[in-house]
Amino acid sequence: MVKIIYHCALRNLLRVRLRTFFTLLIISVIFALFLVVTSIGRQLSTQITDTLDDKKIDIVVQSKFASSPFSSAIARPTVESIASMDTVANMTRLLIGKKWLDLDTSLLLLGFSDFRPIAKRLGIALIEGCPFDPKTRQVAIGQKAARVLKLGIGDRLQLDADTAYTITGIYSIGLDFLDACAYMDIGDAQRLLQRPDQTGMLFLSLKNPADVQTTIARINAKHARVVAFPGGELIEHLGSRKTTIRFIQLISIIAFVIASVVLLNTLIITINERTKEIGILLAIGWSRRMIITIFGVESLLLAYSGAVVGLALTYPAFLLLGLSPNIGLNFLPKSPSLEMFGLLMIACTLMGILSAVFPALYSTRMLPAEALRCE
Amino acid sequence: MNKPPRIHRLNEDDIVVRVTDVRKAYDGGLVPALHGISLALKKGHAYALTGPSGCGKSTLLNIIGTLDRPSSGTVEYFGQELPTEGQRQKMRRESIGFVFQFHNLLPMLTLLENVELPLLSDSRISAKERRRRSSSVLKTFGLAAKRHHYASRVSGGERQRAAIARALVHKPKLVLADEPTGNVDSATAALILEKLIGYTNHTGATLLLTTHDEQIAGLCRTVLRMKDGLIVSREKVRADTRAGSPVDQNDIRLLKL
Repeated sequence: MVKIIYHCALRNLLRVRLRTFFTLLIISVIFALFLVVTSIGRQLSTQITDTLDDKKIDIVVQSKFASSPFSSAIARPTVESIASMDTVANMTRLLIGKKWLDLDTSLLLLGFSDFRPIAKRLGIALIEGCPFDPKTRQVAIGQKAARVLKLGIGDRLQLDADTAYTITGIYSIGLDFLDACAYMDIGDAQRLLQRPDQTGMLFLSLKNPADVQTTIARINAKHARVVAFPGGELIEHLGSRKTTIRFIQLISIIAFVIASVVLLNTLIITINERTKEIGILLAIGWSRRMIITIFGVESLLLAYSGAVVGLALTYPAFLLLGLSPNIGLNFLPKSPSLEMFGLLMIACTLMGILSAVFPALYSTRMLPAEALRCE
Repeated sequence: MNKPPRIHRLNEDDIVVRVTDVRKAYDGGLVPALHGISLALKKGHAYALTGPSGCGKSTLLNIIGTLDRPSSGTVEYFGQELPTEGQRQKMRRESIGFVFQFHNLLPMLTLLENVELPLLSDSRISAKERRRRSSSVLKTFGLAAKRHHYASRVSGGERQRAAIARALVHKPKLVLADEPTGNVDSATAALILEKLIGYTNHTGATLLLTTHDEQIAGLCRTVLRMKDGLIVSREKVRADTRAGSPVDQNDIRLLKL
């Protein structure tokens, strides 16, 4: 029975080849878009989480209302006040921002007040050359930035019209996010990003790790414009991550709504055209359930094929996106997220069943004689 | 006032279908089709329903075949009414074989798969048995060589033969045929009638067929004539004048489905 139902569904799809082709094309492009966006989002999220786990930094401080680390700005008096707290052993200031090198290439700048200790804590390993020397117009760059920009030790990096920076070292952390950055002194970053005297974030190490909660409480009570939290919670406080997640959720919902409408439309047309066939099957004693199953299988075949073709389309899509130096420097995964593909298959199952069941339920409610009269 | 036609007293066990004062009107009662039909179909009998186009033959056949519902009146099958769609579906699945004027095969399936369709809804029949029975019936109808051909790729006569094979494959107790020979050549028509009447004679099933052709009607035991939604006459065809019900080896094979 399964075999005949499957044959019926498959041959019906082949009977209207053009319609099947265009439905499949639209669905697979939508699914490919979904997989590309969600995979990039997941890659970004994973990289940040992997880099900033709770064992590396005791406390992080940032602007209370900053939507992302890029827009976070902490005033100098606040920085000095926190630095002078008795429980704080060491404080690293960070300023982060994007610098456009030309019309389509940008580089992420990470300016540190004290690079070496934080590099050690975050596991940023020097693979070539030596660390940069502050105040001497030197930078170190990540491995991926060096590869994409085709730069090496001793090369000069023109970061603004007046000044070229000498590359002294190449670092690697194994994550695209940080391997595509330029590391420099915070003073240079402030000047290049035109944010003088500003600090984006503070990374605090405490004399006694047991003082984390009390220190956080003291900072949050004293400074209304900043928020302090344990290092492990940084990922939760990143506004850009929240925005990214909302964007991904929105894209996913839109993708599934469009795909469902396309599939539903195809199934409605198909079922209307085949009302007479429904009448024949009812006349020879088939139950409504069996007839609906045929359309369900047809719909699932379309949805699953769309998902598989969509998955195949993501590989050339990543390849094409990787050709752009700007995107290539950031969070582009090599392959789509299998977790997201799993989610897509679950969504396809629901979508396929619902798209077939509703129109089929309506048509199978007809009397067989009535259905047989339809041409 | 019109009295409903008198029904002869029959042994209830012999009655397959009893239709009592059935009326049917379409479009909310604006288009009347049947005006109070009463009849009883006996086990093992072949009936021909004749009459001019539009007199209500197909409507009556559809109602008896549970494909349509009457506006009023009752239809009993083996002494029982079937009030729910589930019961009607079960009746179609187990006891009724329907032959349409136009073959109504599914074009995307092979002849064999089309013939298998009625058996698919019976979970007690294994795939092997299903295939064996379907192949056997197709062979009876001379379609063994074409069983793997798609329905859309064979001739009209072959399609109609396959359609009759599909109607008989589940061994129905009631066979309803709506002008089964209306669209086929005379040789195919003869074969179709031979098989249908042969089937009823040897299985005890009841056949009700609609036709415009008096010769075809003459093959059946009883001829019911309809006009304007009513049965106006009921004629028994004498056995000696009836154009026999030939039995050949194929019919015997059909009985051993």
